[in-house]
Amino acid sequence: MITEALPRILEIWEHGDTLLPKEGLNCPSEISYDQGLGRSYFNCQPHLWQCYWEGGVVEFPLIKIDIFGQTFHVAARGSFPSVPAYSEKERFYQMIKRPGSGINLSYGFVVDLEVREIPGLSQPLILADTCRDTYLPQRIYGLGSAPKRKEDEFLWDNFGRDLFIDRFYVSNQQVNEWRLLTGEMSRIVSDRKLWYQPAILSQFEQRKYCSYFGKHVLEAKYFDAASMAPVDQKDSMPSKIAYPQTPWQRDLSKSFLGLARINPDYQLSPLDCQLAQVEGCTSHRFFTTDSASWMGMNFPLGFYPESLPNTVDPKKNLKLSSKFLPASSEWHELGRRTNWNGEQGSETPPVAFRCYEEVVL
Amino acid sequence: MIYLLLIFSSLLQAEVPLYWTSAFSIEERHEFYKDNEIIASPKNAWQVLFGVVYPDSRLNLHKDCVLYRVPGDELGMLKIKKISQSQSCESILFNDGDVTWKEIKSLQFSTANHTIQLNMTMPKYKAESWNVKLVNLSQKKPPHTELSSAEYKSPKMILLAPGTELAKFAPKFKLKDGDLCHKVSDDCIAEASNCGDCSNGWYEAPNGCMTGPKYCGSQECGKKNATACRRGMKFQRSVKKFGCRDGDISFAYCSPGLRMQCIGTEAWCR
Repeated sequence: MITEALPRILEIWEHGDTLLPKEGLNCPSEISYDQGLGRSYFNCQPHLWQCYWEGGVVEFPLIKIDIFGQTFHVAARGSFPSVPAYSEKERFYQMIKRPGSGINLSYGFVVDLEVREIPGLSQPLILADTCRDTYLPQRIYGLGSAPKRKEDEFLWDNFGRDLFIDRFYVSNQQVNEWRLLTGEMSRIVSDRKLWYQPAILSQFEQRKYCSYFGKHVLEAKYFDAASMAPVDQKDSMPSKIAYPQTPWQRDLSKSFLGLARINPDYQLSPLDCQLAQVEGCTSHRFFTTDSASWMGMNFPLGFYPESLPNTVDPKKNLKLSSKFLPASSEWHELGRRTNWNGEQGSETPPVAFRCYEEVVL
Repeated sequence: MIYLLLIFSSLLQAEVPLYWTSAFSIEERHEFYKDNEIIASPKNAWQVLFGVVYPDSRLNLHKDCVLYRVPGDELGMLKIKKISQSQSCESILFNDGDVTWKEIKSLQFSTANHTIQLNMTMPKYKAESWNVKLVNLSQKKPPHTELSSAEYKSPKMILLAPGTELAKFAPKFKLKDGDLCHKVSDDCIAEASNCGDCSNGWYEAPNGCMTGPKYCGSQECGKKNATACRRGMKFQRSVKKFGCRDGDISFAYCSPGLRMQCIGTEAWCR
C-alpha cells in the first residue's frame, strides 16, 4: 500500500519548491521563505521535509490512497530523536552516512512511513540527495583563459570518468548536517537566516567536508570545464578548444561586463544581475538557477569568491569574480584566478566552495 | 458455477514475505528454468530457484533463499531460508526452511520486469499466487547532464525491510586511509571497486589505463610525494601506448617543479 504513495513522497522530497504556499511556511524553527532565496533550496531539503510533516506547509499532511474503494492515509512518522540545535520536536528524518558496499549510496536521509489505518506497521526508506550535483560530460577540455601560444595550452580529457559537480555552493545547512554526523554539535550554525548562505570554511575544513562524503573540493580545471560552453556539444573531441570569456557569451566585450569596463556610468539591469551577481546588484539571491552554465552549474561568475584548488598552477586557486567587485573589474572573466592562502579572514571577502564526486561503480 | 467459486475462494493471496518489496537484487536465479514455465525436473531434487537480497533497517543486507523440491515420488515442497548476503543458497540447500509450503502439485515463477511472480497449486484446488514489485530495482541510467550522482549510483529511494526498530546508524568502514580499494592490474584489468568502504573518500594513482588503482584517503594529486594527477588519454588525439616507464607519460602530470616517478606502473610526484 505504501508503494502507492511513493511517487507523491518523491515529489514532496525532490520538488519541495512546488509546495510553497502563498502565505508562506509555518515552521520558523525549520525553514522560512525569504526574498533572497531561490526555489532550488527547497528541493531535497530535509528541513522542508520536517516542516511539511510537522504541518507547516499544509494543515493535514496526509497522502490519500484509494485501494478497492477504501481510502487509506500515508504519512511520515517522527521516529527519530530531536536535534536540540534545531528544535525540541522529534525528527521526521535522519541523515546517515554509510559504507557504499552492497547498496551504492554513501549518504542519504532515512525516513519512516506509516499507514494511519494500520497502526504498528511502518516502512523505513532512504531518500537520496538527487538534487545536489550534475554530470560533467566526457570530452576534451582546456584550462584557464585562451592561451597566447599553442604550447601554453593545457588540454585534458575526462573520458572514462563519471564526474558530478555540485550545482551550488556548499551551504551552512549542509555543513550543519556534517557537524551533526561528526558530533560537532557546538559548531552548528543556529541562525536560520544563514542556513542557505554559503559555508565559509578554511581550505582544510573544505577538504574535510567534501572527503567525508567521498567527494573532493571542486578543482579549477573542472570549474572551467563546467563554465565554458563548448562550441559543439555533440563533438566530444573537437580539433580546437574554445575559451569563452563568460558563461553566456563568448566575447566579454559584447556583454554587460565589457560595457561596464568602457563606460564608468553603466547602470546594471536586473537581467545583468541574474547573469552574474556583482557589486551594485541590489539583491543577492542564493540557490537561484538564473546563472546556470551549459551543464547546470550555478554562479560561474560573480556572487562569492570561490575556492578552486589548482593542480596545474597551484598559486591560482581562487575565483575572485564576486559581488564584492564592480562590474568593471577585470576579474569578472572565466579562467581568471588569483592566489588564496586557504584561511578565511575578517579583512578579506568570504570564500565559498563546492564539491565534486567521481563515481566508480 | 460452484466449481468456479471453489477455485476463486481457494486462490489465496499469499503470505509472501512483506519485505521483498525492499529487495535490492535477485541473486542465484536458476539458470535453466525459464520464466513462467512449470518446473518438472529433476524429480525429487532440491533446487535453488532464486535468492532475494534486501536491506534491513540497519542497512545490513540479507538474502532469502527460495528453494524447491521438484515433485516426483512425493508432492513438491517450497521453503524460504534467510541467510546473510555473503552466503550462497546452494550451501544451505538441505537445511530446514524458516517457512515451508508442502504438498505442491505444480509451481512456476518469474523474476522478469522487476517483479517476482510465483504461482503454486496444491491438492483440493488450492492455489497460492505471489506478485511482488521490487521497488528498489531500477534501470541503470546512462550518465547525462542533469543526472545527479545519487541517481546514477542507486535508486532515488531505497525501501528498507520494515518491522525492526530503527537503529542509530553507526557506520563501520572496512578500509582505512592508504588501503588499496580498487585494484587495476598492470595490463589494465580492473576488479570491482571497494572504494565505498573508505571512510574519507579515495584518490587515484594513474597508471596509463583508462582507470587506475585507487586508495582510501583524501590526498591531493600532483603534490610532492603524492600521486600524479590524471590528465586523460584522448586529448592527445592520436592512439598511443601509455605507460609510466616505457610508454607516453602524457596521461598524468605533477605540479610545476616536480617530476613524475614510477612506482611499479603507478605515476607519483617527487
